[in-house]
Amino acid sequence: MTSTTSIWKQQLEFDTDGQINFACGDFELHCRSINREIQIAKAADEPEWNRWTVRSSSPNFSIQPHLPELAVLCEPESQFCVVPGGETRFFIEIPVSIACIADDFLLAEYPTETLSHTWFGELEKGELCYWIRTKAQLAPSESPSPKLAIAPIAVENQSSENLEISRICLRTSGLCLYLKNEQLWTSETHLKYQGGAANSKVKINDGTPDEAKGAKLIAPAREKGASGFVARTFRSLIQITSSVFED
Amino acid sequence: MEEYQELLKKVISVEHAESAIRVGMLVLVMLPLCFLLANWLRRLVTRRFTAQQGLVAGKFVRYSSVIVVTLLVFNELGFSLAPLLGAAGIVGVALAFASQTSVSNIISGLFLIAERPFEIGDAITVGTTTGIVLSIDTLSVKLRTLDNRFVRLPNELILKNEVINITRFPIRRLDLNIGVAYDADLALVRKTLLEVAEKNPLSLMEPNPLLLFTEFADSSVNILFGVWVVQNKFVPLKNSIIEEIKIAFDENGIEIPFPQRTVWVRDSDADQLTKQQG
Repeated sequence: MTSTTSIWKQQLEFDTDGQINFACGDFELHCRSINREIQIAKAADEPEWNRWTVRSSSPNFSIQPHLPELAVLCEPESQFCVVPGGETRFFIEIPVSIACIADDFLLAEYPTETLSHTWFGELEKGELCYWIRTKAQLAPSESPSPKLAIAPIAVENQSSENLEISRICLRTSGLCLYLKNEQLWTSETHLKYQGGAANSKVKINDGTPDEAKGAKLIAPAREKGASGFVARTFRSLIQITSSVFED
Repeated sequence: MEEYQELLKKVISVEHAESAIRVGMLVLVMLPLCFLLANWLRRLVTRRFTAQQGLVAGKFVRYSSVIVVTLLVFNELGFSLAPLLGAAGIVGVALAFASQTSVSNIISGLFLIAERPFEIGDAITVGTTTGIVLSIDTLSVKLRTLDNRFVRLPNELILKNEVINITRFPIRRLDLNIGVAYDADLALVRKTLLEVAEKNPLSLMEPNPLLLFTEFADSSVNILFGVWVVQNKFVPLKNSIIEEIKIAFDENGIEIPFPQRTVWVRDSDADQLTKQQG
C-alpha cells in the first residue's frame, strides 16, 4: 500500500510500508524509509536506489521544487526585436529540479527533465548553461505541466537601436520560486537595455510577479542578495553588460 | 690541568662565544623563520593567485634566505666575503661549463614560469606523453600520466617541443571521422548526425556542431563531425556519442562501409584454375 502525492507539501509522511511515491507531471520519484536509511530512486523498470543514513528513524522528509543550478540559455523559437523605446514582457517555462530534504539536510536533487548543455560566451571564457527552446509567449500558458516554473521577463529598450534577441541567458540562482494554485512561478526579471556601448541593467524584482499575487514562497534564491548582478544576458548583435541595479 | 684551562680560555674568548651565539641564532632561529615565511607566502600566493605562482614565490624566499644566511654565517666566522664571492664567480663559470644541461634546464624553467604555457593541474601533451602537471620545478616538470605513471620532463625538452595544453580552455571539440557508403543519402546523414548531437545531453548545443564532408575516399564518403563538450565530459561524450551514431545509422539504414576490393579474374586464368581444380 503506497500513497501517491502530486502536490508540493512542506512535509511528507511515509506510509505504513515506509514509502512515498511522488509524481510531478510525467516525472516520478520513489522514496522509502528503512530503519535509519532513506532510499530514493527515479521511476524505472529497474530503479537505481540512492541511499542515505539519516540521524533519526523517523526523519522530517520533504520534497521541494528547485530551479536548475546552472543558468538557463533560452532560444526563442522565433527571433524577436524590441524597437527603440519599446517594452515587452514575456514568459519562459523552466523545468524544475526535485530536491529531497531530510531533517533540513539536502539529500539530492533530481531534474524533472534532462536538459542539454550549452555554452554562453567566448570559447576561451564563458558560462555553462542549460539549453531551453522557448516560445517566449506574451501571456503565460493556461495549464502548463506542474514540473514547469513560469519565469516572467520584462525587457525595456532605452537605446536608440533595435534590440534583437536571439538568446536570453537567465541566471536562475537569483530567482525565488513561488507556488500558487499548484502552479510554480519565479521572481520577475527586469532588463533595461541602454545601447551596445552603455551598461544595461538587470533587476530581479522582489516578491511575486503580478500574475501570482498572494503566491507562497516555496524556495528562496540559491544565491542570497543576487537581486542585481553584473552579467551578460542577451546574445545577438548586442551584448548586455549589466551593472548592479539599485532599487 | 691548569695549562689545559688556560688554552681553553684562549680558544673560547668572549668574542668567540658571541660569534658562536650569533651563528647559532642565524642557523637555528633565522633560517627556520625564513622557511616559515616561505611556507606562509606560498600558501598566501596560492590562495590569491595560482598554485604555480605560490610555488615560485615560496621557493624564491626559501633559496634567497639560504644564500643570505650562508653569507652572514661566513661573515660571522671571519671569512671575508669579497674573495669568497670572487672565488664563487670562478667556480660558477667552471660549474656552468661542466653542467650546461642543468643550466639550460634552469633557464628554460625560468622561461616556462614567465611564459606560463601551463599551470599545476593542467593536462598537457608533450611529444607522446600526456598527463596532469604535478609540479614545475627548477630543472624539470613532473607529470602524472592518465594511466597513473610518474613522468619527469626536463624543462629544456619542454621549451624545445610543441606543448599542447588540453585543459587551458573550458570547452573543447570532439572530432569524429565518419565514413558512409556511397549510396547513403547525405542529407539524411547530416540530419541524423545533428539529431544525435542535439539529443546527447553532454554535447553542447552551442557552439554548433561542425559537419564537414571531407572527401570521396576509396570506399566511403568521409565526414568530419565535431561536437563541443566541456573538458571534464570529453570521455563520457566520446563513449556515448559513437554508440548513438551507430544506433542512429542502423535505424536509418545508413551503412558505414569497410574497405572493399573487387577482383576480376580473366577468362584464360579462370580456365586454367578450373583445369587445376578438376
